[in-house]
Amino acid sequence: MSAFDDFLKKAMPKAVREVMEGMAFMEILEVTEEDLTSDALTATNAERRGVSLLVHDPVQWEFKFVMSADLLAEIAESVYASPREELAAESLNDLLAEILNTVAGRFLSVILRDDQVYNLGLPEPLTEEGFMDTHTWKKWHFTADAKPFTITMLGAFPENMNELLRTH
Amino acid sequence: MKRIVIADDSSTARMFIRRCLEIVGLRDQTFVEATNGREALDLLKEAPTDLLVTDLNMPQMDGETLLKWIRANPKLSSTPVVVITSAGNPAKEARLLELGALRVINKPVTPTVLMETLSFMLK
Repeated sequence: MSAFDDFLKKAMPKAVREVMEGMAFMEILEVTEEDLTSDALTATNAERRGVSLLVHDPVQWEFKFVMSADLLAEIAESVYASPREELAAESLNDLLAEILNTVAGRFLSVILRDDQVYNLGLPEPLTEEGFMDTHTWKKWHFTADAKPFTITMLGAFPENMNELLRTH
Repeated sequence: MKRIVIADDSSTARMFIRRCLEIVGLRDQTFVEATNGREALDLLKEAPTDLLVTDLNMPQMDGETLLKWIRANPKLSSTPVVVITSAGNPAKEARLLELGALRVINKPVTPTVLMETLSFMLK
């Protein structure tokens, strides 16, 4: 693994923990795909929710954030301080989008140089095709309350990547 | 009672910001919400506003453009503006402060940071 790969690999869990623990007060663990039980994966895939976010500048990357409907409802109960039965589907989708938006911002601020401005797009719900793992570049697995969720990054290094990055 | 406008396209973010404002002592104020910069500008023109808390990345009109419109309008130019963003870095922060933002705060917002920023309103 290159130093850059290692740098990216560590930056995402840092961003996810900061955001999820700050917003939902939930402890987040990074896990490997092998750590996840088949029951947990089946539950996630049965009824899942996902959102996508494009990075427009200075790189053209896409982040995807996927979790089970059950975990999303659990996070929403914590954030909104309301039982899930009282939460509208729109609020749940908005929460998922806002978490990814914030995580992506924290991630980029960790890896990019201080003077490097970056621009994010607006989060969009994943379509059925969007859940498929095509052209995946990096993937991180986490659990919250023993329930898995994933963040996937799609894209590639631009030629001037080293000029954009914080020293690592 | 103070009038506070919160502009963010995410309902979750608006709720979270409002909750943080209430935690730091701004309970029982008049909170008005906008989902983009254009709506926020209209709300600012409707009535004197003590504080605008705005996201940066919004559809139709973003937070930076909103800030420029506010500073260009003599009736609105003294409105305190706090910018909250998930895409913040020192370079962008310097540009927003130059445009007159009171402070730029990175998401996720915490009550502690808001308390420091809004100490002038909390006396």
